[in-house]
Amino acid sequence: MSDGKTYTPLTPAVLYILMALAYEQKHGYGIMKQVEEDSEGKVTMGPGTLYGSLKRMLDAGLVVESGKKVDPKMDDQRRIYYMITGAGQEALDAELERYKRVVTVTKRRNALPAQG
Amino acid sequence: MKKLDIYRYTRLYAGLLQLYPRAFRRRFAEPMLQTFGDMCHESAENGENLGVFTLKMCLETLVQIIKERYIEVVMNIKNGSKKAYVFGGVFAAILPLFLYVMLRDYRGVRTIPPNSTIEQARELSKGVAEPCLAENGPDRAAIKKDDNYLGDGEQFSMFEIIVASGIIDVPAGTEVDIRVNSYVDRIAKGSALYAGDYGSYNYELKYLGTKPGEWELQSLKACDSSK
Repeated sequence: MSDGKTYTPLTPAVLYILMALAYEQKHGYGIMKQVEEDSEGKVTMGPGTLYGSLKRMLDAGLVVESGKKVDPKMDDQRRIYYMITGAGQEALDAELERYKRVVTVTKRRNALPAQG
Repeated sequence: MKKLDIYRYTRLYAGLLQLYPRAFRRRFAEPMLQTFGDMCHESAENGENLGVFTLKMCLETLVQIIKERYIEVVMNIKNGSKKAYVFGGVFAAILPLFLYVMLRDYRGVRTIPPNSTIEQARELSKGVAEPCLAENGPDRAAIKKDDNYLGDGEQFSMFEIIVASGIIDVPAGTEVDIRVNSYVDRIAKGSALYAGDYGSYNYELKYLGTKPGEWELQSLKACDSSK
């Protein structure tokens, strides 16, 4: 469980959710908005995909629920917040490392697409 | 109106969540509903069609429900549970029914093809109507200017005749109130309110631009003049 590499490669949804939670805990809608922002609008997920992914991530110990709170930026409803765990952070680091290696290999082979 | 729509669509979405396996539902139905509500509010603020938005979300969630149900059935089969076959069978039986009900009630506003009969228009308008577009004087003037109209005489009548031709069997002499709501990029939008029992329709008309009076009816949708 402590070896983040066990979880790689991660699905795009799991990767973006971990990225969204890497700096602060968030509720479901907050995660969605962060994923949309991080992916520059290219990854949008509905509640089904988000909570399906969160369930698997909770079961795998990558994230945990951190309690119910009111989001001061929204209405007065109490929302469940999620936070990344040590295993989640390791999985994220391992996945980013994997991406780095892919880019390095691609660069070495001069196979990166032309810019612009 | 929007608040009522959000309430209705949230109720519908809550109904859909009942199809999730019980364990999943107990754990995630409440936050999923909250997230759906948040998305609905954002969608309404952006002026999106809430019906279309809800349909998209329902389809997205339905795919995930099937996935969760499949995982549950596989796990139960692995554990040798007969319940898995029963649940699998029941779910497969009710899924098409649910889809039918959902798509029937939330099909959105239908377009009535030009040259339809009143009967066809009524059939296509059943249960679906949007508010009729209001008159906007400056846009009527913009049409006259672009189409070289000098007044409300014969040439502007051509515009009105083409709108009215959307429904072909309205008796001659029936009054129809043609309203122009907007005129942008040679697309005119407005409403045609027929006197009597012939209905009201929002139209979209394109000025072909080669000669005055050359308009093409793009779409006609049932509208409710009381909204």
